[in-house]
Amino acid sequence: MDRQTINRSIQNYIREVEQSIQEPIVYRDLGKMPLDTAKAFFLLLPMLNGEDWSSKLNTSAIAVGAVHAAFDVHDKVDIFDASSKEQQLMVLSGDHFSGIHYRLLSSLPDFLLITNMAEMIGRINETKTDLLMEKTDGISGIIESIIRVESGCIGEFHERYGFSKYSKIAKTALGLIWFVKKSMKDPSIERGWTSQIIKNADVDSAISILTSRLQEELAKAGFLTPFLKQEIHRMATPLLEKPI
Amino acid sequence: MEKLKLMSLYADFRKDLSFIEKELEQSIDSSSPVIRQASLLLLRAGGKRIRPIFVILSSQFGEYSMENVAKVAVSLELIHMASLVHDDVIDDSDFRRGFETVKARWNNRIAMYAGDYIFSRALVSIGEIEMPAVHQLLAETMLEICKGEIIQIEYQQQTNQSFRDYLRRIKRKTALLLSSSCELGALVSNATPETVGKLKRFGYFAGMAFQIVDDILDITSTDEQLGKPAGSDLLNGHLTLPTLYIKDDPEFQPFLLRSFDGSLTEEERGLMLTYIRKSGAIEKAQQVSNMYLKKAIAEVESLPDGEAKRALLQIAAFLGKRKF
Repeated sequence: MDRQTINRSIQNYIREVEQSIQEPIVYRDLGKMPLDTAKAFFLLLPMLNGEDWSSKLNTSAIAVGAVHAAFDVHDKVDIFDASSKEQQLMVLSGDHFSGIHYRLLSSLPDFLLITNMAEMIGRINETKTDLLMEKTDGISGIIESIIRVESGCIGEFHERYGFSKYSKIAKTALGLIWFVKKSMKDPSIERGWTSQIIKNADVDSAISILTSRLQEELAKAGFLTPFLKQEIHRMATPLLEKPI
Repeated sequence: MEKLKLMSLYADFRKDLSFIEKELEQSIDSSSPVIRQASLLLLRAGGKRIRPIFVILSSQFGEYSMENVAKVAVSLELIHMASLVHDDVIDDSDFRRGFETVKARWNNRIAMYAGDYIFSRALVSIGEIEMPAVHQLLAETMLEICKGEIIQIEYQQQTNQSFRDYLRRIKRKTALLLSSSCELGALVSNATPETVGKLKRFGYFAGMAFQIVDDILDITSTDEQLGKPAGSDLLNGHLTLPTLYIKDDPEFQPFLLRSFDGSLTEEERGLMLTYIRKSGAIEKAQQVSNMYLKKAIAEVESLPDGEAKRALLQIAAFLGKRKF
């Protein structure tokens, strides 16, 4: 597996998600929904590492992408005024993407994943609400909240199909990437739920905690090809400007 | 009074409904205080619980299992609730059924998360039913409802709409979920395909009548009865059946245009409502609703006699004459 193959796999996946969630009026007025390539990479990590990847898994992975698209667009709804046509369509397109995720899982049908994913979607919305209302306490609470919001659905997908060992790495890495971007004031991570509760000191501590956690997990991850380990390093190090 | 009348129609199934009510409350018992409050606010604002009662009644025509029925009924009512929370964001509504909306009490973002949370709980509830047809039907229903709302946004503030456009819109907005409530109730009880079909069509026709009456009440009721300003549909840019009948009336047009551009004064709103009420449009819309109710009743009449059939017929009759 080389970088070009990885990029191609991610782009194919993103294209499949885009095709699945496309709705003509939404597409015309809001355009394509940007999908997070880092999330796609960690979702597909077992496949990139050579694990069996059936069409059932692929459909479920697209369903996870639809959920992420729903989250993203709902996070963009204006906090006080959603009366413009564009904002109204954001509300409805998120609901539409959620419906697509359910239709995809129903088509398999994977009842367990329907339930587990729904439980996680519920928890993520609780977490986003608590972050927004500043009801999350302490650095460990903040780290766990960010990890849940960023990687909760990916974790459910991995757990469902026997990829628990990948789940830990995905959660830690996606959490770390979020905090590193936060430290760099990257606007792409400023979502609806991002509140003043996350202070600069918390961001520094979180980066330090998650960096060592990821280091340990990668050191123990004998199942992962050296190239993928390097890729995971690469995704965090340019942001950190120092090796993990 | 009207609510009591409806409750009396549910009398034979009160035990089942109160079980579902408890399940509803438990299903939204969130660990997040704000989400819990927001969900309870909505649940306690009440509602007619038409979807749960349709599930219960339809399931009586097969092998009734309270466990399965409750999961479906809870799921459908939660989907309905979630859509209301998001609709209030879209319509910028501060009140629903006389209660403050989630977006007004908190803000749009909390309303988005609360709606998404409630929707997720709906899937948790129905996820335990391992019947592919049930999930495929519900998923398609949800997508069609959403599509209907997206199309409604397209039609917002447009006067060049036909009756067919309106009927297609209310089919997706209301009739489909009621139709699916009946169909799912019958499906999880393993009713015969013929019975499932009749109940599905009953729900659809009753749903069409229900929405037309809803649109009539938006004009004929007072602000107090509605718990929101009368004429809200027009103020939000939506043409409904009564207003479609008079949209080209030269005396009505200035009201219509001022409603759509947001410049209608309170006094003009009162004058506009009086004008519509006296125009004969309400009676015409009521006739269309009655036509759908007749079709609904015809579907149920050939089903086996019993308490469920009687209740469905009584509810259909009530839906046509309701005042709330």
